[in-house]
Amino acid sequence: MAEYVVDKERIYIDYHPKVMAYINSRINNTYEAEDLAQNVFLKVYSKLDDFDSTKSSISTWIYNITKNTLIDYFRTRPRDLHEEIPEYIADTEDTPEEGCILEEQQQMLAAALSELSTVERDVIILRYYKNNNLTKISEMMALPYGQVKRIHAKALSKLNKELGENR
Amino acid sequence: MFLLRIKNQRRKHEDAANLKETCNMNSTVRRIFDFQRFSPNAELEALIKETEGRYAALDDSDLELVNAAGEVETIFDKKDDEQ
Repeated sequence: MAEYVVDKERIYIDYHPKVMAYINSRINNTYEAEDLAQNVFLKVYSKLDDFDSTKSSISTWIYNITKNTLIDYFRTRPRDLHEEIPEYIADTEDTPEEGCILEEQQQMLAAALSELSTVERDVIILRYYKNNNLTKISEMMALPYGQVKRIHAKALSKLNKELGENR
Repeated sequence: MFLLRIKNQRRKHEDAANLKETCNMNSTVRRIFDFQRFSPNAELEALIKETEGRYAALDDSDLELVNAAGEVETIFDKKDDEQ
């Protein structure tokens, strides 16, 4: 295990802002966000012995713990507040290898997005980062829905080609 | 007739393969962007900021986090309307 990993204080200093930023991007309640972050670090510390730096980066490992803590939070919320867990979070399996891949894929996605036209890039970012549906995007971009749908399909196909080739 | 049926079957298989590929790409892009919220990549962040800058005034998605009573809301993926 890397020395870095054993240093709990260092982990907290380095990752608390990331954990908070991630949780705050998903829920909008400061107190609950802080509680969740504390839960994340309790889990991180209690599982430190299980962490294998040859299989995953510490960053990804903590990301997965944060994501799973958030999923548990969504599942245990009161019924009237409970909504469907976002598919992209719930369906992501915790494969240790995913971490390294994700970090590489961020770079690949940035490069692939740079190759798209501005309009195509905007549609992808508004759809998958900002989580807007295509109807909303068509309003935001002042374009007909059908056109946005075509741009979306074309952009995804280009990304598929770019990311697929580098996979 | 027989050839036409084969052709149609082949097209169905191709459509299914394309759909599967699109779904895979959907979730891949989503996962990368989700990880971006945790560990930002500088290049990707710059592109996001650029897009956000263009549509900031029109994007009320962040406001939807807070309900009328000012209580907790979550960012849930809005219902897909393209599938």
